[in-house]
Amino acid sequence: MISKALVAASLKPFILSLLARGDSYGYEIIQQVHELTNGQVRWTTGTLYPLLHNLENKGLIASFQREAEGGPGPKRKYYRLTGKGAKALVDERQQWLSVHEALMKLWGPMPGLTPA
Amino acid sequence: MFDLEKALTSWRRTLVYNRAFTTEDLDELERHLRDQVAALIKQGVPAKDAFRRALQEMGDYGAVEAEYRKVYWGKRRRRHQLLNELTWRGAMLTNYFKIALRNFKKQKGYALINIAGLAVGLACFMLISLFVQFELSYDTFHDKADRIYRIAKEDPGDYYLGTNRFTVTPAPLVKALMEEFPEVEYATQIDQTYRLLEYEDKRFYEAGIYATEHFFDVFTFPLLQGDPRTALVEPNSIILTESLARKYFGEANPMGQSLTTIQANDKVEMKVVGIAKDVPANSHITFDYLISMASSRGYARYIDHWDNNNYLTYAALRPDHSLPEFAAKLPALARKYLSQRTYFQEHPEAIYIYFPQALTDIHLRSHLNFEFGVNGDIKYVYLFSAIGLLILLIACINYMNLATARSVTRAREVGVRKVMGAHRAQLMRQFMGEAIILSGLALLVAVTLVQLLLPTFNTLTARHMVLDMADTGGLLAILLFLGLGVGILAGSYPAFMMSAFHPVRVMKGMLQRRTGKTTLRNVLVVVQFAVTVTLIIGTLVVRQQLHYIQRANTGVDRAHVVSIWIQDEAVRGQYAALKQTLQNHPHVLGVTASRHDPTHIDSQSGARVWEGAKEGDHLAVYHTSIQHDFIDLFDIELVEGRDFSEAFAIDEREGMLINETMRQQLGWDTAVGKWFNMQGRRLHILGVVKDFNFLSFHQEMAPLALYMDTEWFSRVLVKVRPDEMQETIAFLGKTMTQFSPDYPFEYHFLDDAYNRMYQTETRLGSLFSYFASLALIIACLGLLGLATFTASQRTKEIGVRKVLGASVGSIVALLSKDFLKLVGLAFIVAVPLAYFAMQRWLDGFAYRIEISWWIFLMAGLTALGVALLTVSYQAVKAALADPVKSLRHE
Repeated sequence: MISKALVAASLKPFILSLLARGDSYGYEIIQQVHELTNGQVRWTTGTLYPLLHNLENKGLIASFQREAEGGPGPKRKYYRLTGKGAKALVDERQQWLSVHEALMKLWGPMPGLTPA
Repeated sequence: MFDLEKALTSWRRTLVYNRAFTTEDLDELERHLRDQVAALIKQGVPAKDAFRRALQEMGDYGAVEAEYRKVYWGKRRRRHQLLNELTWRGAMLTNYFKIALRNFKKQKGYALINIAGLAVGLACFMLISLFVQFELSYDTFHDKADRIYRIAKEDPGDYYLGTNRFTVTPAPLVKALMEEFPEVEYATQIDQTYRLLEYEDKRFYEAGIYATEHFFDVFTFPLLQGDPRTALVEPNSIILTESLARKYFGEANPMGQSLTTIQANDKVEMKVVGIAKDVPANSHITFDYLISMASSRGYARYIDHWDNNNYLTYAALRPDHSLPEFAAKLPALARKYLSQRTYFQEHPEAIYIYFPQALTDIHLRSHLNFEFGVNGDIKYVYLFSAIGLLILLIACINYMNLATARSVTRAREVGVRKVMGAHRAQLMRQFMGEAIILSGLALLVAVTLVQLLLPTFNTLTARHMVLDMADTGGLLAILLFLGLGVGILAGSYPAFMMSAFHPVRVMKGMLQRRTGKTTLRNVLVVVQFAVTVTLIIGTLVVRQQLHYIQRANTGVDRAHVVSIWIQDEAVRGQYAALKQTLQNHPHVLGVTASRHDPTHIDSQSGARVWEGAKEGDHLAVYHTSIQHDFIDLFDIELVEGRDFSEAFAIDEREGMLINETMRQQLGWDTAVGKWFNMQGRRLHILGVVKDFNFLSFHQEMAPLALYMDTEWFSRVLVKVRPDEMQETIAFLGKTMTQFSPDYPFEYHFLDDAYNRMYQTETRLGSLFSYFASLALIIACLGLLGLATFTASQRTKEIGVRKVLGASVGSIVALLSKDFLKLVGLAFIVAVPLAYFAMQRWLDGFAYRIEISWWIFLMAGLTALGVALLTVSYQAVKAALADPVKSLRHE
């Protein structure tokens, strides 16, 4: 399992990236992340929704209602990425990549440990 | 069979009243649950289990709510629902308010005790804050306040009234400071004067100062008319304050008018060149008029004399000055100018040392000889701050104590509210709200009290403090905040405690006294009474010392002696006739004259030559000149020799009386017949008087010499009969006007002058007793509340005891015992504290009482007695109650 701290850190880039690929709603986002990480990352509703609302307050994403296809109950609330959100995603991506790159440098082939 | 729809409805119901979730949020969460349940059912999970798992995955309820709450206000704002929301909250607030008011109404006594206690505490604290702020504000109104210094001097070896540091400096110092010290921007000198001012038919003694040219460049005393740059340049120029101008000139413009000043038969015409605003009450320099120093003949005469110290010197340094550097350069200045004199060549160690004193430190920290007026004392500022905080603490403790005690009676209310779905936070808000309303009311009462008490407090402290928005608005705002803060702080403990009650247990009536809380309450009571007892002991010791001072045999019979101030030279020539006229009146018992009142002889000179004196001997002697009958009139005892006698004319020229201390310090067994050089005159000792206190009790006994000088007296002392005083005074006034028609009749009673020397102590005593009484009242109010509570809580127990045959007395004892133990404990805590504090205070007196055990006993008994009275009132009430009623009460 991936540690709690890392899960928390990855929430925002995940949401922004998923929404960049198309509009989605809370349940679907959770499912998608679950599948993408082979079950390594599992979010609870209690953390996802407040974050979605928070991003919405900040104007990075926007919400709209759409009739649900899954039986009775309230309408489904969809989220989409805004222009501001797209910019934020570029920034997030840059940050993740630089961390990733740095770590890769450290973990890359080491003399003496790998056969020449 | 499990019904998903029903389950979802009931799930929603639990959340719908929570303000963190909007309907939209709930819709979204419900949709989520539905999707998940559907997915799980597809995998073959039974509907009931699917729902439970979906709920579990949603996360812990509290955490979810907390997360939602974080984004809540943003959402409100974005949806433009803020106003709506605030209205809703406002409605809730009104509800809190309403409930609070209902509670107060229901428990009037409790609310009254609480408000009264807190109000008195706050009022005390405010008064003391005003005082402290006023004391600290001295001289801060000058624009250059942070860089003005007074240059004072230390005179090694010259101990006068207990210190060798003096405020007075020589005239040439100003010029030297301005010319030789680049960091000095401006320097000025002042000299106090008290003289007759005459304009047309108006003639009064008025207090003012002489000031040199740059006075207004150093200080900020705004002129309403006139030019501050030139006003003090010309001789015979005078600047009046607004009030003085009005007194003499009414509505007419005094500018350019001339006014006569009269001092020692010397009349000088002064031209009014300016009108100054009245001097602020928090200025250590005070004056009703300013005369240019150029008008002073003495100043002109001593302008080059470095060893004639008469003037107070102030310098404004440049903003970039370095004080340590400046201070380090000053001693060299004295050496440079004084070492030319032969005396200082022989005694280089006696050269003065000049040192700077920050202007803003003068009022509270400077206690040199010849201060401008009576300064305050930082010790008292600390002392009163401590008292103020302690009283506030007592009041807060009370508040908390009462509120927690009472909480039990409201336990059911809490239970019901909780069952009805109130959240803990809501309950806390409710209780805090009540606390804030109570403290708000208390604050209102306190401010009113302060307004009412301020004049009295001003008299007590001899200050002129005001409570208005302009001058003390900032302080007032702080106090308002503080009052509310106290309410919140004092209310928070009960709020936390009560909101944590477990509803079921509370409803079952299981909330009984828990020992933990009782201990805390007990500690609070002990603290309160310890503070109170300390204050009572302080009061008693101060009173005792004052009583000692007033009753002590000072060796001078000062009762019913009128001291008439003489400024008119003409009177001195007619003394014999004046004395005769006065003595002829049946109410006059005796007449004499002298330079000083015998209760305060503060002239001191150094002497080196006397019979048997060796090279290098030196004796500092206090001295005054007197007239015949002085010793008799004051009933001063002679231990050796005789008094001056009119039978021997030579007595007037060569006679001298000394006191025992002087005889002893000169190492003489007998003094009569020996000679002593006093200010250039060789005097022969006629007699030795028993030591009498001619200085305040703060000073040790010192050598004193009395000699005669018919030309040199400044007061006529008349002993009168105690009855028909008014008539006698009228006679004295009439006689004086005959002999000295140009001068007003100014007199005082010796007794009053004597008591004025201990003004500070008298004020301290009164303040102490007021604060001690207040502390006692507040503490007792608290105790009363607690006793009421205890009695009500033990109603059933008392009923049972009575039914089983307990007497009223034993029940009263039962209820009072615990409280009295606490008071006893407080007493034990307070005694050493008060003892050490008061010992230190008494150390300031050369003549003092010893703190006797009965003072502690009295303080303890007072506290105990009042506490007993308070508690037993409730205890008796409870004990007398009909047991049938209390037992039926269920």
